[in-house]
Amino acid sequence: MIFDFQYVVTSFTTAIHYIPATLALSLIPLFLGIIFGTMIAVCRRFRIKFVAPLADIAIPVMKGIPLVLYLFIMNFLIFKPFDMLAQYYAWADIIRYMDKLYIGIIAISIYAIVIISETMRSALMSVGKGQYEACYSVGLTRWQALWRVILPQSLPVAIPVLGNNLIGLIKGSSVVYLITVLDVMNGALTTAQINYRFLEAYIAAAFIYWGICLLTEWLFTVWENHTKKYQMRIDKHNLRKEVL
Amino acid sequence: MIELRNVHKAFGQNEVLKGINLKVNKGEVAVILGPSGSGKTTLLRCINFLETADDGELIIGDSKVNFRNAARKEILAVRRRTAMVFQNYNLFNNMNALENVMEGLVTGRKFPIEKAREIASQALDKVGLKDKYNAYPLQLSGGQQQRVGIARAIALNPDVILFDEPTSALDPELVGEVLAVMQAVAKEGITMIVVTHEMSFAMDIAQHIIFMDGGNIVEEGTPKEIFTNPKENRTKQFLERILPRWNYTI
Repeated sequence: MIFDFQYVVTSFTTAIHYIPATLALSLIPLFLGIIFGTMIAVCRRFRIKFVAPLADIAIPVMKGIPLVLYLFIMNFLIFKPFDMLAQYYAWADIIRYMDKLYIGIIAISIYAIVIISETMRSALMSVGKGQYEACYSVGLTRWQALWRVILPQSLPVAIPVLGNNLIGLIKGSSVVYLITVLDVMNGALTTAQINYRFLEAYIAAAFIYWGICLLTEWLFTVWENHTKKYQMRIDKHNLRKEVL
Repeated sequence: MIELRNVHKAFGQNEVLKGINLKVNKGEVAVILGPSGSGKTTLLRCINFLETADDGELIIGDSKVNFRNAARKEILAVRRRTAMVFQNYNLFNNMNALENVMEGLVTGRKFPIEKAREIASQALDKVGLKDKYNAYPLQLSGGQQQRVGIARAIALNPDVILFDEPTSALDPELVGEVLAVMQAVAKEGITMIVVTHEMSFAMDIAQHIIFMDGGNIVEEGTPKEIFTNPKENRTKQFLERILPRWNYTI
């Protein structure tokens, strides 16, 4: 028999235990990405000396590197020196228990910072020049303007895209099985290693990712409508239509 | 008192201001007239550093700033002595009317919130928006938004309020309410510099008319001098085009 639903269930029940790992691999990068990505985007918007020109060169370059390469590069950059150090000091136990999950989180975080800095840049650009001028005309400094007016207005614009970014990160995080991190994808495959039911394992993993992404999408829609309603007072029936 | 000396401004090759000298006395309503592209708006925006002029000096009250090497602190100080009303209102979209007016007081000038609220509500009452404290800009008409903009400016109690074509984006029906508010503000003795195409406002309210063309001040004087007896040819030409030709008196 080519397809047996029973094996999907087996895979599914095993993989479901690794949902926290997948969430850690996507939510921590999202969080770090929002903080550092926003900082980079703001530096570029305000043309801060040294930082802005550097980011102008670095971000487009880093945007062009696939996630899987970040993973491998970080794996070698972090793991190999650490391994050598551990051998030198005979930390055999530490290296045995050092979780590759952290390498996955670091690699995906770098990727997330790059893409979210672009998301935030476009969100900042959606706020017109007039808003800045109005802030300056009432005597705010540009940081006050940013904090009080520009960021609160760019957030509702950024949220739907951040939701897409998070979904991309959740799905993208599945490549960490390549450096032997146990996430949903790898967890589903563990059963297939025993019973050779790979198709069923992939389908089980697909179901879990689909479920997580659906939930994410829904949560971000709720958040988006909430910010629009309470920050911009857009009427309920106009929520999805109108942006600013 | 506000004075500009030898202000130059160029956007690339395009010289917009070619050495403007201007003096506006305290409590005076000055109206800047002129065809489009004559540098009126740029001049206004140079006064509160929304554009940085290439050269020249600005004297406002007792402080003197050189455009060429103005420090960030000096710019902020000048901005806190001026206020601006914009052509397309530029209210803060994420705040309601009251918060819009309070923002410059609370965040910019560190007023205690209660005091700021009091000043802001007085300013909104003055422009006739007593019942719109909690309305967001999206819920207001153009005329109401512009009145909030004016309230935001007068609440700051600035040395001078700059009006950048405050009625140009409004439909004709709403122009009247904004002009009425501006007239009330003028009567309070606040110094105003107004760029406008509303000739009736210029004639009735202004004490000082400045006619600009091609980056220069062509002629200035009282409304009576400018409108009834212009000296320069360019002024005559401009006024002929926009004023009805009265050949009788009532």
